[in-house]
Amino acid sequence: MSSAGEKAGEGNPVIRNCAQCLVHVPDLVPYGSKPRREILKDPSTEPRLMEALRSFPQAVAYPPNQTFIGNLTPDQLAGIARPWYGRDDEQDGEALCTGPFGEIVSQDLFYAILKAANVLTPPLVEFASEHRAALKTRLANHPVFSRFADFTFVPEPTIEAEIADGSALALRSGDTLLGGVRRDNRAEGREDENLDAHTLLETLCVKASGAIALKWLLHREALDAAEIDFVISCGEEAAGDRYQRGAGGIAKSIAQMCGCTSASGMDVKNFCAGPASALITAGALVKSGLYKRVAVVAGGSLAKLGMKYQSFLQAGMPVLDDCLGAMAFLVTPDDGTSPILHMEPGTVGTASIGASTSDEAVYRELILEPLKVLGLAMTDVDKFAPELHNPEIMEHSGSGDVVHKNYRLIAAIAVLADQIAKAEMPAFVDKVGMTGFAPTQGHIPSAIPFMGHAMQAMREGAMRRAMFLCKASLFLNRVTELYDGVSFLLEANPQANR
Amino acid sequence: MLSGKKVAVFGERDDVTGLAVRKCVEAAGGEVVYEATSCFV
Amino acid sequence: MVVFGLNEPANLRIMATTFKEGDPSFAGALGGIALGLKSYHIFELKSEIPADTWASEMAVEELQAEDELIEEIQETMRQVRGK
Repeated sequence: MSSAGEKAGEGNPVIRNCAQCLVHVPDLVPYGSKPRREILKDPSTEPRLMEALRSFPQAVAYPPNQTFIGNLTPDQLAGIARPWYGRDDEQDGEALCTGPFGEIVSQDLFYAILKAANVLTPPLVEFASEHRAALKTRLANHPVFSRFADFTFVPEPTIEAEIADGSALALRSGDTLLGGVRRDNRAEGREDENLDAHTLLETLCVKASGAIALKWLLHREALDAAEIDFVISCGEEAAGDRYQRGAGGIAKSIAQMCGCTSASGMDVKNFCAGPASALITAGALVKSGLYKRVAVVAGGSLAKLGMKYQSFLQAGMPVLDDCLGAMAFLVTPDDGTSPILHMEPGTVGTASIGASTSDEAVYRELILEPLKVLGLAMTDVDKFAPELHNPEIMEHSGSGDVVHKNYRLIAAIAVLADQIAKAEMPAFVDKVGMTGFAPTQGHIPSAIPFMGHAMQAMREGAMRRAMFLCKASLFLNRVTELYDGVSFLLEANPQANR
Repeated sequence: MLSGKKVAVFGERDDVTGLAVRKCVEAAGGEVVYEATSCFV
Repeated sequence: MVVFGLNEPANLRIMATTFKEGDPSFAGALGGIALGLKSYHIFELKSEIPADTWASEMAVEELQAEDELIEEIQETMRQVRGK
């Protein structure tokens, strides 16, 4: 191995491929946590909310969404004047649905995938007779998802009656009722509040959107599903029943749906830093030699849809948090070309419980220590990727630009470490920073949406190192005051020819 | 000024956390009777 | 009294006003009840905090917030308190 390879560390795994997708689900927004609670208090909220939702072409054309799937880089997005919403560009809507990293999936296609995600009899997801053929055909004709179309319908649907009595949730398309999602009414599930329609829809959304991302990953890699030997899921859902409320099993559910017959798997939980923790775990599994092709999958959050809808209504804007996010990554041994994930001892940033007594100590451990082990300063990193929430959503909801705040924090650490001067902070932020573009989907926007862009830039020789910084608000579990941090360094493969 | 006072603390994860504010208040002799850190994301 | 660590002037104004005068939007459980609590932002209290505690807890946050933002926050809090 060349000396450059030695410097990058022998035995580091690589991130070989990625998929970043969005699912536009306006008619599921009322089932997000905030809209649902507010509609229960005041039913007149619902028509006002529904009026403010975007059409599929509008969601597709929305520049932050285009950035998420890779048709725009974050720098190109920053060059587009705000407001980003309401741009009715005259472009071919179909062509923009897909990008280098994945697809923006439409609601009708997603409904069919929700049906495909069902395994129970009687099914959890049902559609009225007149809509069935169309949904199945739509799916069967899709270049990536056609294998999902192998499902059947029961002869007599009773879903409308169940929607009326509240044991099922309606799946609508505007004013048209297409079908519904029911609670588990079988003997085992009937009295379990954890198996109501809403919770099961949440779980189904994670499975279905995760499967979309994993299918795209396999498609981009031209890899047979049976070649994957391990899958890790990292969403924030709690899947299980009354006795095992958050026990998981989502990774294998998604992998099964996608045909990964050789794979085992597990779910990793770490709030927003789940994907980062999952990638590090995947890297460790590959580096140890236990597995060769590990897929990390993150499905989307139903609960977070419409979280900021009140701010949008107040500002006379469309509701911008109308998409589920989904991502998948393939981690393998070093292939000589893909960006490497640093896994040498001490090179992964953590926030030890002892250090978590002060914010500064946390950030020193997260950022400075791992770089120091590699003999690097913060100024040796081309880009830092922290929270990447779309500022158009965050600013209108009163949080300010969370992305910018995090870059100021990163720059502050550089000052305290004597690596830059206070006066250089704005320039440093410009150099290592980027604008946010990801939807407010919890674990989705935390750093990792930059992965596709970083991998692309590294393969082109335009970037050498990117540090991904994730924060996790563990204190939201109510049994700790800690917030966690996880970071890792991605570096262009030193063996790749430039 | 903080000494002996009962204080409610409201922090924000991406600005100043409740933890940091509490430690300052307590070091100045205040008593923190309520603490919350919000996470707007 | 109340001490804040959030840095959005608009949110600070609403919350500090609520603690002083009751809910300004006249909705919610605190509507119409004047609590009479004074609110401060931690940035205003630097001189009250022992220097070594400030250095270990607040050094990063002080650098993170732009000087103009710190001033705007302090001004907002003074306006709500009335001094």
